[in-house]
Amino acid sequence: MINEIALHSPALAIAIPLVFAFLLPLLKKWKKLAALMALIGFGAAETMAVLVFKSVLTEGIKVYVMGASSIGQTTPPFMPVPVRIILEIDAFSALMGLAGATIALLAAIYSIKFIKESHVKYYSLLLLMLAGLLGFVFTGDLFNLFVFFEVLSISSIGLIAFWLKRSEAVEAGFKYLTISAVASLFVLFAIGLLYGEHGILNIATISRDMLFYGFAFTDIIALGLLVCAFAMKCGTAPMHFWVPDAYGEAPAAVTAVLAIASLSSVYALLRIAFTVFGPLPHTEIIAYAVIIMGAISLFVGATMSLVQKDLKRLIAYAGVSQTGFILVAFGVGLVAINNVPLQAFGLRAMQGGLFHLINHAFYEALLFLVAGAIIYRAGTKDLNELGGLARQMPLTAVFFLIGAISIAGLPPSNGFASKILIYESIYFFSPLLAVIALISSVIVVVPMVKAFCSAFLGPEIKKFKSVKEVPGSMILAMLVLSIIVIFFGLFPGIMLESIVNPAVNALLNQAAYVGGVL
Amino acid sequence: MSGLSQIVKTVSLVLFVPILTFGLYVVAHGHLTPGGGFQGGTVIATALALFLVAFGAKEFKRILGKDFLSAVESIGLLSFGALALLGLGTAFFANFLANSGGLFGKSVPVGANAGIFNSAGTIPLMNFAVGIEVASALSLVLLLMYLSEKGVGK
Amino acid sequence: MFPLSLNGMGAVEWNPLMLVAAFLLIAVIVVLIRMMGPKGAVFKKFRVQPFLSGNKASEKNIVHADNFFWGFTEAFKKYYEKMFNIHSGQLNDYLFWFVFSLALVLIALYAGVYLWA
Repeated sequence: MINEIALHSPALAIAIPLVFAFLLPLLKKWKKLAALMALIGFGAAETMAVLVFKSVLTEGIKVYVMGASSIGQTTPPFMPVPVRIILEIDAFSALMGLAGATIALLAAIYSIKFIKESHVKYYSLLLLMLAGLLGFVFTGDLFNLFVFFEVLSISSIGLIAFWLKRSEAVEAGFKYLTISAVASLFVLFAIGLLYGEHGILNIATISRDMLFYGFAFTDIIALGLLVCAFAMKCGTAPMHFWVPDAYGEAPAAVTAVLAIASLSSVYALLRIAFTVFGPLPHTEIIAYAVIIMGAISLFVGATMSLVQKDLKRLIAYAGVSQTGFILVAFGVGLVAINNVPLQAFGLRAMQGGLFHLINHAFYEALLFLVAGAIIYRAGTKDLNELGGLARQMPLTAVFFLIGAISIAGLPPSNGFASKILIYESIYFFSPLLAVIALISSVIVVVPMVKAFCSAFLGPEIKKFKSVKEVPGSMILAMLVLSIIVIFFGLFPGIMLESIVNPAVNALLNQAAYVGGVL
Repeated sequence: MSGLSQIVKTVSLVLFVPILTFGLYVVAHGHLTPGGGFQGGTVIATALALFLVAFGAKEFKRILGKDFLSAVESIGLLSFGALALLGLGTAFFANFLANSGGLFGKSVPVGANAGIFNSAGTIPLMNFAVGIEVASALSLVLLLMYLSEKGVGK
Repeated sequence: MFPLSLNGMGAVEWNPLMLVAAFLLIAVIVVLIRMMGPKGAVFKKFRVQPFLSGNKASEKNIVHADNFFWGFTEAFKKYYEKMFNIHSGQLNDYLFWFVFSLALVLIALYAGVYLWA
């Protein structure tokens, strides 16, 4: 039985959240039962993600063919091309899926008390979002990439505008709706171009086609469109404007999941750049574009974060800056692939970038959950009004400090461990880039100090005298996230060996990805 | 809120049956002809939209409530998911009914034929599931839009 | 093993556990030194009250978040003015920047692939 489940875990990881999401509206009358079922759904999805991750790490790339007479039968009988719905999971996608499922589970636990309205609609949408996220990172063909991208975006819109009575939330939802509709349209257009050129939607087959026959003109356009659309969805400057709006207005637990959803767009960008288009010489131009966009995000995100007075917008801008780090690192990696003298540095940069991606997902989630705790008790996220909360909410203050130290990259945090890898490797690529990265990282300390001082320190404020520590379920979610963050910080070597390196190797090993299907 | 005139009501009732039949036809023949669950479901929803416009929201809500439509939508989606999960003996979404001889289980001969309705395994069943889902969801959307347009209670 | 050097400059290893241990050691020393003072100085009596420029801080007399790092924002006033203009909050501007970046990337790709090569 357990073997059977492990065998079907990739499909179940997507199917379980979907089925539970559809089940919840039927349980409208029994609110507690609905919430319980939702939590079971999140737990089961997390279990499946863990199973997938474990089997990918031990057995290599996992291929799952839907509707075939056996799950490994990638091409139908008498047909030379894979036309079925194929899930292809390498170490990188499994890692993203695991991170997404974990954060979604913790966000769901956090929401038990955080959401005071009926949970049915909320959990239903959150489960759909998780299904979209897992499908997005697990899929092996481009059209399903688009489909799950849409599932992810649309459920996110519903959640961003969850508090419909706030006009700001509706506005943010509308902005996100437009932005993601534009992005998905461009993605669909690019996929159409690739389909017209290669006659197939399977990523591995397109990749093999390009290795053999090289680029065509339409492929170049598709590459540009895909990179720009995904860069917008992961909140890269100068296309980051929607990030503070959406992150600022969504319920805090949703924001934590939204952050990893944005990072899954980074995953798609890398999948396109590294696997579909491969290390051909022309990818270097895209690499430079990614580096420039990353450098702009680094600086703009950090400096804009400094002047925010809304706690969640402040964290969102700091997050834009961290996305810049990831993109710069992977851009350098992409340049260095074809450049033999730079290869060692490129590999190091990619290790740093990937480690930072995972770290970023967790500490960003932690920070947003802390912001949510402040909103839950104090009722405001305006830093000008807050103050002295460390007296009443000591645990929350400690959690914020952990997240802040990590995002600012101070030793001995996990942020420092990944950032040092990025600094030292991009320095060899371009010292100027390293300087920009360092300065931005220093600037990010400033808004975090500002947020901590004005929210938690200072004299006691009369308005917040009756504020209490948040309920246990919220503490639990934040505690688990901080334990993960601290563990990553204290044992970066183990993390690097056990999860980051396999993912980097999987991303670089285009032949294995192609070989998984063909 | 009592809908339109008696003439419109009568004519819409006359039209209601053929539209519904056509919708069901498109859903049921999804595996043989162009169309399928989504398209047929939309046609069914247009019949309900006609009913909504002619008779008004009050009458519509008396017959098909919001909660009822929402529940039906969930049931359609769940049955789709369940059909996919039932194939787990071999693989997710595997067509376990095809060529089995039972329900929708006739084998299709090679070459040109007029199309065998009783074939294709789970595909027609999935079409029905999608048809139920789309018809109820679309009429729910129409009902909510109608209500907000008229400014009538939530 | 978390490597810190790239260029064969010796095998430096980043060990956060050592750093935490050193931090804890220093913290213990600090507490010990403070314990040499009056009784109960560490845990009970002399909890530091928040102060501002030598005065006791209260609700009326507090640095608001807007005033933090005033010098920095003042020095970069022109940059921030420009940035605030760009961050207009209007959807049209958001989409303009997307189209603008898309155009730049596509032009760069076209130039790089077809004009240079």
